[in-house]
Amino acid sequence: MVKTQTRRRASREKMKERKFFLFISPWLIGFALFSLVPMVLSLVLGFTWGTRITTWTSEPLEFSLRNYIYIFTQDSVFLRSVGNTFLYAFIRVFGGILGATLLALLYNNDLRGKRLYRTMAYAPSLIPVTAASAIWILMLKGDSALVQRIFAAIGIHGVDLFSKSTALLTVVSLDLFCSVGSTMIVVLAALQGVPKELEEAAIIDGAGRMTRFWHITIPMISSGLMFISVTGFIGALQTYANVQLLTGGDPEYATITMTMTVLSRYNATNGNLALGYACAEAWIIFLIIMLFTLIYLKLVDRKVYYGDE
Amino acid sequence: MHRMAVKPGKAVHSAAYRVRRITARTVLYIVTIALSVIFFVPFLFMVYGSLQTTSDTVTSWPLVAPSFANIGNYAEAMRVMDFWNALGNTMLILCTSTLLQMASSVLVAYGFARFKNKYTEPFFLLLLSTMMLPWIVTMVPNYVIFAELGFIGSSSEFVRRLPLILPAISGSAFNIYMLRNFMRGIPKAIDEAAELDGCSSLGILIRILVPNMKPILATMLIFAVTGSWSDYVGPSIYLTDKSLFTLALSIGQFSGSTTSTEKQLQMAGCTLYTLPLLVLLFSAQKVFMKGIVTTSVKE
Repeated sequence: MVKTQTRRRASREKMKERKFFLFISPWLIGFALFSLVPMVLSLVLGFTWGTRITTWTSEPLEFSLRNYIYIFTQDSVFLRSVGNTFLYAFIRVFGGILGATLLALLYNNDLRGKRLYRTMAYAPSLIPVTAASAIWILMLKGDSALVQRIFAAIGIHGVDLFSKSTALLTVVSLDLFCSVGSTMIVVLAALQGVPKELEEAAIIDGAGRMTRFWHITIPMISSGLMFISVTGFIGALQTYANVQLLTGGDPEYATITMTMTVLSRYNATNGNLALGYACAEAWIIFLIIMLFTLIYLKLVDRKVYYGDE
Repeated sequence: MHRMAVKPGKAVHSAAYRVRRITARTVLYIVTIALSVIFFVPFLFMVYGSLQTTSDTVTSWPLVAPSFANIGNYAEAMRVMDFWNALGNTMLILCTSTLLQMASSVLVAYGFARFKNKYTEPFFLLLLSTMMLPWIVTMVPNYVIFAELGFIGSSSEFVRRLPLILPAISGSAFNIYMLRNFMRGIPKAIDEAAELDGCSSLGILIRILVPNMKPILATMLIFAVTGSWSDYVGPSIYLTDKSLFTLALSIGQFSGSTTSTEKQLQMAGCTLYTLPLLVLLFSAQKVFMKGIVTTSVKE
């Protein structure tokens, strides 16, 4: 009696397992084909010196650390791109959080039509990247751009928003302009989660506006801000399309980002791809992002309030 | 009683207090509205530019009044960017990849939510860790694999598009995570009752769980659609043939600084390309606002 029961339970468990794998199989297949195999392949290829897609299978592969040594000792463009990308990411993430928090405090007021204002602030993040860069180029880039002509008309000359020293800042600012509304909506939701009683209790205790902001609002939304900053960093460290379309990395690699260096290994005109080298770069980027995220989490985690536990 | 005590209190505020309060409100309105309009400047400029007569007036200062007489710019832009073909290409990839991604996400989330066993946890952690995987690591080898399999130079147009569609089979890790949490919130007793009535596992998912998740599925659908509509990186890597260009690519090719396309046509093209998203945003404001919070930062 007991035996058949346990046997039946065991077969139920087996059944559950089978169904589990059946239902997750689309992801398993996709993960294996489009993530796992490619990752292993690129790790292996990173130690080779292949250049053409069509020949890398027919020629015997030689394994060496050449790519990695070259990247760290000779490739000043790659090192430059790491610096650019981190500068970009720090401005993008912390500027975004600062801007979004200030905006959220403003948009949190109970005004008539507040939902329309919020939607308008969010709207720029919906502009597709190719359209956005077309608009920004006509507005800002070159002497014939609208803003340059306004500058000229009021007597300001020689302001080049896309020069060696300003281009990166310009590109980040435009990214911030487009994305800050979307971050603001998330901060707004966090603000609405701050208990009213806390605020009221502080008012009774005579706490001023700033005190309440620093000692109640900020700690209460800190876990939300931390989430925004972590996902923000993972995203910003992979910045590609908007920079590629606005500057292409110019002038003199002042705006080249990590992901752009990898894709620049592909030469569209002759179909040549510095395959092994691109893979090695991609893996370094992967490790940099992983390492940075872990360190950042460790540093920030202690300062975040997750509620009483 | 309590209320009564508060309300008369307000009435005794001095005139000076009221004036101060009204001024503060007015300033608040002005600042909020001004900022919202500033956020709308790219759209305003785009439409303004699209209704100019010549390329030079698009960026000239002082501004030149736009005129609806130039509405023909839109027809000309459509011709230059091969609009209908590009729209068809975009929609083909959008519909197939979105459907595949959503269907997979729902199925996989169901597996994780309802069939707990000793493998569930480790596989779920693996799924979550893929969210941290940079696209650049898999992009190069994926390109190589598709090239080796003959997808990239294939004579069939459909096969050449497949690299942009097939990866959707893994679903979206984030959507799976959200859906699994949502499904766990639906009482299991409902499933069990249906099971006793002879409903299959798939039947339970389709007839009971999915109808209960319509709002969250609508949110995910909207973000998948806008994401695919705007996607530039994927198509720019896989679609080299002009006849396969999506809208993102055809806008991209005439919006560079080296382009010879006239500026008013560029802006007309951008307007045509962006307007559907704007219409979607304003007609589904609530879904968007909720969605941004639940799905948080996209990209």
